[in-house]
Amino acid sequence: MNLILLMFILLPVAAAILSLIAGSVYKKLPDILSISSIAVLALSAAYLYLSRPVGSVLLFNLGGVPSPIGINLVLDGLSHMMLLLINGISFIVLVYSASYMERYTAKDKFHSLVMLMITGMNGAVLSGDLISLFLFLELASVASAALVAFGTEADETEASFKYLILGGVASMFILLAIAMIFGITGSLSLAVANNIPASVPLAKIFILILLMAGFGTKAAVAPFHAWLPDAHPSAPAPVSAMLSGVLVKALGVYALTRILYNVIGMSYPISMALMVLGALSIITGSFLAPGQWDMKRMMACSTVSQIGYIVLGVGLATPMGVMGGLLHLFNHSITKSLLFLTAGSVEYATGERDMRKLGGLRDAMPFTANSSLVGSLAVSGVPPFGSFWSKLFIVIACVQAGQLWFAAIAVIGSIITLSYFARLQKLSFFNKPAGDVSGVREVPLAMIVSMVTLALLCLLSGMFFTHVITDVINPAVVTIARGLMYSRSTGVF
Amino acid sequence: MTEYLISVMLFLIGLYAVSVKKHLIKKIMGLVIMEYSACVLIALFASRNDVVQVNVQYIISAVLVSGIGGTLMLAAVAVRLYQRHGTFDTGKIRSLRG
Repeated sequence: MNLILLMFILLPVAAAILSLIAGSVYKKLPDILSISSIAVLALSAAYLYLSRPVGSVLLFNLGGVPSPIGINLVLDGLSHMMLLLINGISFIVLVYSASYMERYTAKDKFHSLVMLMITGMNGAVLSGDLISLFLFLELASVASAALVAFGTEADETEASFKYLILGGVASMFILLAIAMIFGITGSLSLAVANNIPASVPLAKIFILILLMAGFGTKAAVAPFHAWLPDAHPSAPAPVSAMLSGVLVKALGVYALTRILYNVIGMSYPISMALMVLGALSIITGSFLAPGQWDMKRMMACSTVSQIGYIVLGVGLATPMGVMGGLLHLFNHSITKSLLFLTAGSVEYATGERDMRKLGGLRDAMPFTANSSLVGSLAVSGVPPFGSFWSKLFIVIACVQAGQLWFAAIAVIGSIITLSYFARLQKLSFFNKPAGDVSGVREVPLAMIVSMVTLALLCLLSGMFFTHVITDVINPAVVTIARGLMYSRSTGVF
Repeated sequence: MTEYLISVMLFLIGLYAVSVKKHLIKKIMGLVIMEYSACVLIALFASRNDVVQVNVQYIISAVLVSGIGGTLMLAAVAVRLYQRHGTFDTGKIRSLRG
């Protein structure tokens, strides 16, 4: 049973290596290989929910050596939620990419890199010590930077270079912080390194600044968001969907939450700093997005503001706030992947991403148009879609905690989101066509299926949000709420 | 104490090179310097007597190997940029300015 955790790391690596070989044998083989292996992973992530009692912890020691000395993989509520999201969204996106990537030449390399990225994300959420977390984070970062540069045009390489440099500096900040935590506590295990003594306040502040800058850059939180509006639109659409949908959350938000709550320990100044960062992201995203004409760039800017909601909710450090933040993480993964996929479909059919040159696509592309409408309404927080509930919880939690200004920012940010997504709908789907649309056809079946699936998930996650909360979100909230007592609950000792 | 300060200064030199220098290769070198200084810091902390919980040589070699991967990726992208623009100067490459 515990071996299943190792499979989440080994299977994608094997698929990454095999798809390079398989591509030279038969052209469709890499598709089949990666989609089937990620299907197995997504199903086993779901199976783990069904087979185990809610909130239980699964532990796997590599080579049988227990925690402080050996390397271990830990599956608790928070990492389980991330695992389900990563593998589920990746599966749907890879089905989409089977048709979409036909236009690119090196399909085997694409699949290899995507599987490496999935390995990095799975490993980062499962790893039980800081150095494994860092190494998997690096793996995912480098693989995603290669995917950003996949088109090898001038814009894409520039975006990739910017992403690599800023991401590299962030990684080094994280590494320095890890080195300092190791120096102070003498341990790298997430479960043991939580005894930073109060006698070194200066070192603790320094570690916190490094961690917030490092993981903040990975998560694209406001003052560190500069790379995201370049990097995410440059990648092929399925990769953009994965970057905005799961990568920034797995590498940034998850890792930040995990270390701040379970290793450093939450306190009022940290909570305040996170809330300010979150609110700043909401404001920055709301200012950046309405000015964009490129469809994917606008969605990437919207990601900055939505990440702000998640960080604001998690930073509130009340049970309601954390629940709202994690629920928003869950919903935003689905909606933003859907939106990037619809943008990819529009680009696939028309070859155009500029909203000013589009229009009148509703009749030609009914499935894409309606999925995009669902995504736009869902991301803006219109009931009955999932994001409505998560934003509502975040606003209520802000009011309960007495932070009325943050509640006001959250509400206004949501209205601005609705305005610029309404503009996207008007310009690209409802308006009279700006050019000739007679040659535009609906996209192939595989792409329609994955978009409609995600659109249905948006709707279902809103209608059955109580089930999502009790089965998926609550175990994660419990893990976070344990805080520094985390080590005892995992039974590592 | 001096050796800790020196490794932190090394980190800051790397940070300076990444953030201030305009040359793409110098930026990459700055990043490598930052990485090595962090590794030196880990080794220094581990050399104290009270820290024996982990195998530090494996950790550092793993970090260095992952760093080589990142550096190779950066160098490849830099070469591609040079082929497109004929320069390593970030001031002359449109979207990297500022």
